Amino acid sequence: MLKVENLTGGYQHLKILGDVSFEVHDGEVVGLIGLNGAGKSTTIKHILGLLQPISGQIVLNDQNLQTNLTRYRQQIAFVPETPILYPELTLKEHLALTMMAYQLDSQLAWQNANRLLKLFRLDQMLDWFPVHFSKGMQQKVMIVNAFMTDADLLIIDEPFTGLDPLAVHNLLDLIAEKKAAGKSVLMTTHVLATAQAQADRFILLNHGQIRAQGTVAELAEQFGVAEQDLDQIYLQMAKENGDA
Amino acid sequence: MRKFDDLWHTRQQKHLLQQSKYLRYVFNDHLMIAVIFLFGALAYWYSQQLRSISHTLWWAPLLTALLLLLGLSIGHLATLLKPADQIFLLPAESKMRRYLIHARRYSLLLPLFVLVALGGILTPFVLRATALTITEWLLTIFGLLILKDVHLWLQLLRLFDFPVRQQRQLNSLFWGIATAGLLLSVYGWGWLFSILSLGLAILLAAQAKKLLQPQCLMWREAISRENRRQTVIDRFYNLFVDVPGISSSVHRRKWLDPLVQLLAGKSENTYRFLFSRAFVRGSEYSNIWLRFCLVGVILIAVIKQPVILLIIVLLFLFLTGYQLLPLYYHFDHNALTTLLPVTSQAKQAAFIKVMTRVLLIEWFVDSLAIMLSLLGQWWSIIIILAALALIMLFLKVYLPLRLKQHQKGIK
Repeated sequence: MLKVENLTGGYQHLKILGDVSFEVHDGEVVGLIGLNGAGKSTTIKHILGLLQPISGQIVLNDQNLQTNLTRYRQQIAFVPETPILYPELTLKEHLALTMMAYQLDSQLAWQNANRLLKLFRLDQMLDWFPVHFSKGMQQKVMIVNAFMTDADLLIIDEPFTGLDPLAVHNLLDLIAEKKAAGKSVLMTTHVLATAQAQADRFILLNHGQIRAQGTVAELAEQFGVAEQDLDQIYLQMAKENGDA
Repeated sequence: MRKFDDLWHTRQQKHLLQQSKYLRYVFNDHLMIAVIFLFGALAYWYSQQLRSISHTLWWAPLLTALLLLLGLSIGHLATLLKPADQIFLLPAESKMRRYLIHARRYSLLLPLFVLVALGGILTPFVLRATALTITEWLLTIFGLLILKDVHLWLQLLRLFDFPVRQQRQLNSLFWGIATAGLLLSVYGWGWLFSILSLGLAILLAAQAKKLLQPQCLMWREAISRENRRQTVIDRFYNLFVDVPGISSSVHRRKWLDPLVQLLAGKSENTYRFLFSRAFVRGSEYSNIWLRFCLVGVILIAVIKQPVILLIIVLLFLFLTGYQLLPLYYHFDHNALTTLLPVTSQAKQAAFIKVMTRVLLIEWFVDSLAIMLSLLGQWWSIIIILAALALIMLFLKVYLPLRLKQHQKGIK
């Protein structure tokens, strides 16, 4: 279970998040939504420990970065918004490096990986260099890389952009699988209609603060919009901000 | 790479391989000939100056301290971190300490070499111009090497999440001790300086592991630092060979528009229009030209021996022209230019016209320097005329031949 308590943070001189608190329970999928610049990616960077909080704390299964760095990090797998890869490593070497870093049992991990590679039709490309792949395929590499671990918390930043419809479908299935296995999933997205299929709850960020959270029905009620028209929430919120 | 601990060694090997690849281009370049001449001239000048020192000079210790302090600032921590590390290596952060300690040790080699070389070069000067004994001087160099070790420890600490204020304090403490220590040692207190820096190094090495333990590595910061370091090196290599990812920049340089006019001429000529702008606004060609001009002027100012001077001036003018040849092919990759309704004869003529002006400007600059340096000796007239003759030969004979050969090669 991930617990974010009164997190205030941002970049060195730029405070972005103000007093953000939320939880992601075991077996729960939570969508982190908000307009560009609302603080979604900053929240993720804090959870990963790439940024240090100004105040507040982040606890994952009773561990935090200070008590046990390695244990904390190994419980998290991350799919970044833009794929970042090593120009000089093949697909196979990327996966091998991840196994080393997570100290995975390589036989077991390769079983997982092979299944995922087949699913995303990457199984014939193990000796290729992923930097030369298309953006969508690189995204798939990052997904395989994260989903083959047995991390307790999966963090997925904007997973659906750039993926073909089949891959979107597969990714949703994989998320459902993790959920059934009792893992927590935190994903940021703009595509609410797609995320709705798997997300149990949404957290709506606005200007670095939590504006609202709850299920689709609860959010729809709060903003007075129809459930099938969830994107209207953004318009409502923009009006509140005085932008539209 | 089988184990995680091999990561550093694998990276280091790849890095060294790549550096050697680029260095081959650097040393094959004609500019190296110029640099060797320059070094030779400087060494000659230095030995002449040394001979003229007969008693100690009051400013010599201060100059020595300043040079050593500058030498100390050379060399940064090379971590070889890559952008993808902040995703793939995140779960292995605790193992990164070992990696970084390897990196620090590796980063130490080059600066230590530079400092030893600097010490060696300064030794005859120090022994003649200051009151230092050889033991005191060796102790100073020893202390300096130890301080470099400390400096790299500080750079390593900076990658971790320490409060900015604490880092600033450490940094100013370090440079304070370095400055004070060097000033002490050039006045004969080298032993104190050595003991001070040795104490600092031992203190830091003992504390470093304890200091690092509870701190998080600042991945983004560390990676962007390494990126900046790499970019500086790659920019340098890019002067000699195309480095992927480094594009030589193009600047408008409005204030140089008169030069563009001068090179392009009044007539409406497509290729003179293109060549002149590529030369002035791009950095690759004008940089070559500028470096040869500058190094040439420095050499002319230093060397008074007319025959050597003649050879150098002729050589430099030829090398400038030779190195600028790629400008002719600069637009060949542009589909639009290849479709232009211009014959290759016209292109060649335009190129030769632009080159004529470029080389004549360099000749003019060199001539001025020679007149000032040789002050009306009849040798200066000979060198200036010989240089002009060489330029004419290059433009009228060599260049048309070269470009024609290329033409044949295409067909």
